[in-house]
This record gives sequence, C-alpha cells and structure tokens, in this order.
Amino acid sequence: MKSVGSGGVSEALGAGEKIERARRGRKLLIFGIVAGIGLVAGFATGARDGMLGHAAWPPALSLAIAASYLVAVVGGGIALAGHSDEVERLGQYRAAAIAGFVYMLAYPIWFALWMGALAPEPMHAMLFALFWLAWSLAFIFYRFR
Amino acid sequence: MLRAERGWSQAELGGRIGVSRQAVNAIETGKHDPSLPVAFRLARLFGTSIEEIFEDEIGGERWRV
Repeated sequence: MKSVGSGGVSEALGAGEKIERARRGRKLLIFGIVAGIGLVAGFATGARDGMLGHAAWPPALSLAIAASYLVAVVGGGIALAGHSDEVERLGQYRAAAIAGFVYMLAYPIWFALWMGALAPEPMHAMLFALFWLAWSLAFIFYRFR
Repeated sequence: MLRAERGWSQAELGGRIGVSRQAVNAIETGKHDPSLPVAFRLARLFGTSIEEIFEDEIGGERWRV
C-alpha cells in the first residue's frame, strides 16, 4: 500500500504494514537466536564426538547443553508466543497435540513389538526426533493449508 | 469488502488489529473464526458493529471484511 507521509514523501508501507513487518522481524530474530543456540550446541557435541568418538561428556559440557536447551525451548517458546497471534498459537497448540499423540502411539507400540522380539529396542533419540518431526509437519500443515 | 474499500493489504489490516497477514487471510477465507477481542478491534477499526461484519448463517458463516 502506498501512502503519503507527513512530509509529503511517498512511503512504500502503510502504518499497519510497518507494524506487521516489525513483528515478523522480532519473531525471526528470536527464532534465529534459538536456532543459533541449537547450532552451537550441536557443533560443540558433534565436533567432540567426531574427535573422541562417543566418549562420555564432561559434566560441565552436559550441564551447559542441558541449560542451553532449557533456555532455548522455554525462553524461546515464551518469547515467540508473545509475538504470535491467535492463528499462529492455535497452529502451535494443534501441532503439539498431534506430536504428543504420535509419541503416545509410537512408544507403547514399539515397546510391545520389542518385547515380542519383533523390533529392536526403542531408541529415545528416534522417539524424540519423531516427536519433533510430527510437530513440524503438523505445524506446516496448519500454517499453509 | 471493508478492507478492499480502504485499499488496504492483508498485512496492513493485520498490523492495525495486531494479527499477522496470514491470520487476516485465514479469517477472510473462513478458515479461522476470530476471537472476540480481534472481532471488536475489527469493528472499532471499521467504525461498525461486529454483527455488521460477521453474518451468521445456518450451515455456514459469511463475513465482509
């Protein structure tokens, strides 16, 4: 939308569009910080494992990774929720519900199959990845349908 | 359409009522029923009542933002 500002200068964006663009910018910044924390933690552990194999982590590294994850997910979640509107929040709630449902189905079924020697032992990392995959797919579906 | 009458984009309307462009699109296409606060903000912005914007019909809802 083109409008004319108080100085008579043509402005490319209307007042509402500027507000919306600023909100989107803040959300991207928060998302970037959270993703940055994840990348640093991932590289730190990945590089260490690459050099030393899957040796036990030093306690300080474990604490740092746990604390950074807590801050990224809880802090980032709260910050993002504060800049989300009702449609985005609804999509996040639906995605979380679907991901929880997928986890509720996947683990007991996998466990039962493992007990019957029909599947390998349930892997927590794969269940965690499955939860996030379900969350992401559900969120994308509700976001772009 | 009240938004189009003013020559506003969806992002422009969204910014004025505190929701995203996608939210305005979802409301306009009937994929999302706005909350009361958003409905009141729309009504105030367009200088009309909620009933004037949203029309409840048997078997479906229509609205004219």
